[in-house]
Amino acid sequence: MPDLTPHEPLTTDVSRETPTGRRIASLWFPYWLSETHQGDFDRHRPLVLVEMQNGAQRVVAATPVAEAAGLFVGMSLSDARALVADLQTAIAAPDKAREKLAACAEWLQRYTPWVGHDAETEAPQNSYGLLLDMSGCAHLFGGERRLLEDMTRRFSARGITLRAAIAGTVGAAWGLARYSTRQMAGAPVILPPQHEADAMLPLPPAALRLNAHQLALCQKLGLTSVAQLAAFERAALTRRFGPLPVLRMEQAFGQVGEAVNPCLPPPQFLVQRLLPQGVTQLPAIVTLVEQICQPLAAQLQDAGQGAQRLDLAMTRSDNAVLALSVKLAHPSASPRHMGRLFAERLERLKSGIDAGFGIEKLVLGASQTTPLAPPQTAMGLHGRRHAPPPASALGHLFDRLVSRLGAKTVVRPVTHASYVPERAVGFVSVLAQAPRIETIPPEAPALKTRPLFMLCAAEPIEVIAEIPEGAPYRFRWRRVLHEVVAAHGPERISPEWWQEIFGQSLDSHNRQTRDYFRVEDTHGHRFWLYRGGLYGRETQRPQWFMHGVFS
Amino acid sequence: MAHRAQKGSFIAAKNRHKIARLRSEIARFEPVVESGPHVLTGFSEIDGYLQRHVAGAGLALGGVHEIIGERSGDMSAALGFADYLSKRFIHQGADEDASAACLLYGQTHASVRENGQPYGAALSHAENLIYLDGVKLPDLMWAGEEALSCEAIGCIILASVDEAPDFTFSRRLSMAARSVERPLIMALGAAAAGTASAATSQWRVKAIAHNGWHLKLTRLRISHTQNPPHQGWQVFPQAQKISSQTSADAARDSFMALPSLSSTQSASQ
Repeated sequence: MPDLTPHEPLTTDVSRETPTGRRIASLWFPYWLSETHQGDFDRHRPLVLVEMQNGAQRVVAATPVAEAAGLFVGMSLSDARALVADLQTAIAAPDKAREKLAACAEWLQRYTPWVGHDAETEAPQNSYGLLLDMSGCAHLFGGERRLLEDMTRRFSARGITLRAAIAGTVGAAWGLARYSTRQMAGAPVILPPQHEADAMLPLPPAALRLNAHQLALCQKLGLTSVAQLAAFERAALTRRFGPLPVLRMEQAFGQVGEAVNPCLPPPQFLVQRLLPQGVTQLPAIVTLVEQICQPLAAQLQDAGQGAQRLDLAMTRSDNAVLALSVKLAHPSASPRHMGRLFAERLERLKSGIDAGFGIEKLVLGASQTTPLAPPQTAMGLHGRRHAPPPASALGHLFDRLVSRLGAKTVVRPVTHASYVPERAVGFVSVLAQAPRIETIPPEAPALKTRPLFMLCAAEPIEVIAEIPEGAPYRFRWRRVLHEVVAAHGPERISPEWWQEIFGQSLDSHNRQTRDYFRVEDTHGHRFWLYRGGLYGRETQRPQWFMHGVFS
Repeated sequence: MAHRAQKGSFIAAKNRHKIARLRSEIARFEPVVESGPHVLTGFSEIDGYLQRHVAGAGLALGGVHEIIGERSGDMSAALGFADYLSKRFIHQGADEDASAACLLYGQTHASVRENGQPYGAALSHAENLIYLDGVKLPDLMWAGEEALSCEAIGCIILASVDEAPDFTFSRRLSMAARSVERPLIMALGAAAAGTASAATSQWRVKAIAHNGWHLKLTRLRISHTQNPPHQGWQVFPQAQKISSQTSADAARDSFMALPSLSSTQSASQ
């Protein structure tokens, strides 16, 4: 760290620094967004990416071929079409481009293990960059020049334009990759050590990774090169521009250290256990699985993660692999919970485990994880608990119920705003995300006019009733004859004719108007039944159905 | 003769002594539920009886309560009473612990076929309902025991229409419920009645005219000397008042009679 007083002009003498020996490569893909989209398109014809902006389709990215044809970012699609008749267009998908960049960063680990994304975020949408710490790696590829040539060749084979520079600091490599005059000519820049300042001084201020506001100020003050900025006193520069330009210059010249943040692959939670001897007995396997849940849970706890899906692979002595996976309702890092889930699943396997000559290897992995919030400790007052129980309490119950009874059996109700009873309520698995509970409209039928339970399907009944719209006198349901002593109704529910307009076909049963009656028989039992179809208008022989029993 | 009578009374005294000893023995390893929160049923006559005879004055929050439909068509009434009690349990439980508000409702396959799925008032707190849509009876008992140990659950209703859990299941559930002070309600059909049970209370429910239930308390584990009353009570939950046989007409308003009622009655005569 150089000892610089605020009033001293910024030194460009890097010989004061001890050489770090670091070599940073900055890769810049000026057309990344458009070039990664051109997979299915003709690369020799112009391609632009468009996006809806303020009600018009505008060009947000163009390939080099398109730029050569006079198209530019920001023009409307109709203007672009007027210029180039056979224009190829695609909808911009920056997320996809970012995913591809991440994949590319992973691939670049063939050159160096230390690959990071550019810290800069205000980049124009079309271009993206990566930083590689090449220190001590280049000789494996026959030197830095050979390495960059190899890299450029591989990228251009895929139709991707690459501008690369290698320098001793992140700042210098970044600036040179984008603004060097040699770079404009298409040749990679390799800066010998200790020459960062000399190379940076003639570049425009934008090479210092400044923000839009600072660049506008530079333009206003007529500062066109880094050299002009460096000539100012540090204090004056800081007063005008804030601390960033000074910091960036010092970083570029190597007076302040700057690290490349590597993009590391997400941690993998995986444990395996090799068994000295094949295990065939189910109880032993269950115990072993419960045991290997412990180290996995420890890994998860260290990373502050909870498992949402666990995969168990058991390798038999004949190399066959038995796989089992468990989904969790709530992320968990509890070894006991995970162990019990597997124990239950293993014990309930219908055909049992075909362990063959024995299971020799167990691999347990958490393939889906989410960050686990540390549990809130409950505050007690006069021995009463006021804090809600951890959401995991229900989550653990759901996991255990689902693992034994199946996801289709353990359900919670979802309500829909519909007058047709069987459409008003549905059941979804408790593992499904946050069920939608629609607020029941105020005109919804009163609860006491509905039975506590509704039959899964309305059951046809034989009824003697007054024609056309009278209440039943007696009816036979499940082979028992009931005499009606009191009835209330009808409550008329019309079919939802609009569903057909929205393209959902109604079955014939739901095309008819229903007249619901609440009736009481001689034993005091109360029933909820309906007549399907209006006599004489919708049908000549209305059918009666039982739909529920009041409690 | 006198000698014989003396001998008989001696044997009776001996038996009494033996029975008392056994009772104290049983009471020693099976303490009577007196401590812990209790819940009133909301029906004044029943609550009066419970207050007179139960130390905690009400139905124990930590216990298994069995509700049996009296006749084959009374399963719905049993479920209705179970739903009614569960709401009181959860409401009371909410005073103790605001978080335990979820209701687990589980049915056997046969029960789903007979009763259908929750609807109407059973869904009045739909966001807190967890429903097991048709499982085997052993699985149902297992689920009940699992749910008892979950602190977010306020009450559990298990329904089985044709078979009742055996004594072992019933005992396990009842001990689990007692240890965590969480209620579990078993609703059983008439076909499932008559098996041995370790329930804290056992009720028989019959639907009666005008939206009412006839409730009979057939077992109550209050003390080892008390026997529950043989007579039942008629209750009208919608009117929320207890009614004797004669005042049943007052409750007629709760069941909405039609203008066509008279014609219906005359037609059925």
